[in-house]
Amino acid sequence: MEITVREAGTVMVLDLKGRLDLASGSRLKEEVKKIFENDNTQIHLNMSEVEFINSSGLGSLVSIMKEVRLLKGRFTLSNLANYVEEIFEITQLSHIFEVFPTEQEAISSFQAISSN
Amino acid sequence: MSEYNLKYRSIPDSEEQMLDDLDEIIVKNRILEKTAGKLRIVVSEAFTNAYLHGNCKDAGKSIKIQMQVNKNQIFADIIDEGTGGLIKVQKRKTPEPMAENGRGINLIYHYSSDVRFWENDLGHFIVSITIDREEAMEINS
Repeated sequence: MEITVREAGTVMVLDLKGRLDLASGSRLKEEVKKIFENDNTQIHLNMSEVEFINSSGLGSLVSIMKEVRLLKGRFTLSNLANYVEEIFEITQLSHIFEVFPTEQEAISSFQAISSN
Repeated sequence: MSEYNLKYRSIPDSEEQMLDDLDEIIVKNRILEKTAGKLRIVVSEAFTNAYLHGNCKDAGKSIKIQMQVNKNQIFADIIDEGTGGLIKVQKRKTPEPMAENGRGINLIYHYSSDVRFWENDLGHFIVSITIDREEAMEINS
């Protein structure tokens, strides 16, 4: 899996490309850990190019979510493929994560909260 | 009918190789995406289960996959070299909403047409999966 990190205002955006499984899930958690070390806890994952996810990949997302909550930050997802969305529904994780149709909508929601 | 016997070292990176091999089988057998998506997830979940819970991350052990593909169905046996895997599956609990693991078996049940968890004479855990090919069902209906 390719993981690219970029800034969108105060939000750190990670673009994921490929399969999110056991090995790549660990790499993703390491990338997010580096972001935490730079005192940033506003994180968004653009999953438009995630072609496969399994329960290990889901576990890595849950792990990140738990860390973000502990740090009083925010963690959002966007651009889920239909297949990935279906897995979220089956595992009932769609109720736990903040999922947006597009990255722009997710980033706007961060800005809306910070301006309130 | 096509048959495949695959064997992998019990290390995290083997899953990538296994999924690449699975994609080759999918293309060779002209398995449509709807069926292929089910196959990838169930084999991947059984493979991860074998690595984590059967072989307990022991790189000296192997994970074998024996597959048969015909025009109507796909059969896959995922075999580890550990012991006690069956008991772990039987004792599993429904994961808490914020649990980081424990969802794999549910996904196997959801996407398989049939599934059986059992042990061979050596006590090695086997997940036997059947997936009905969507393309065959469309032709037969």
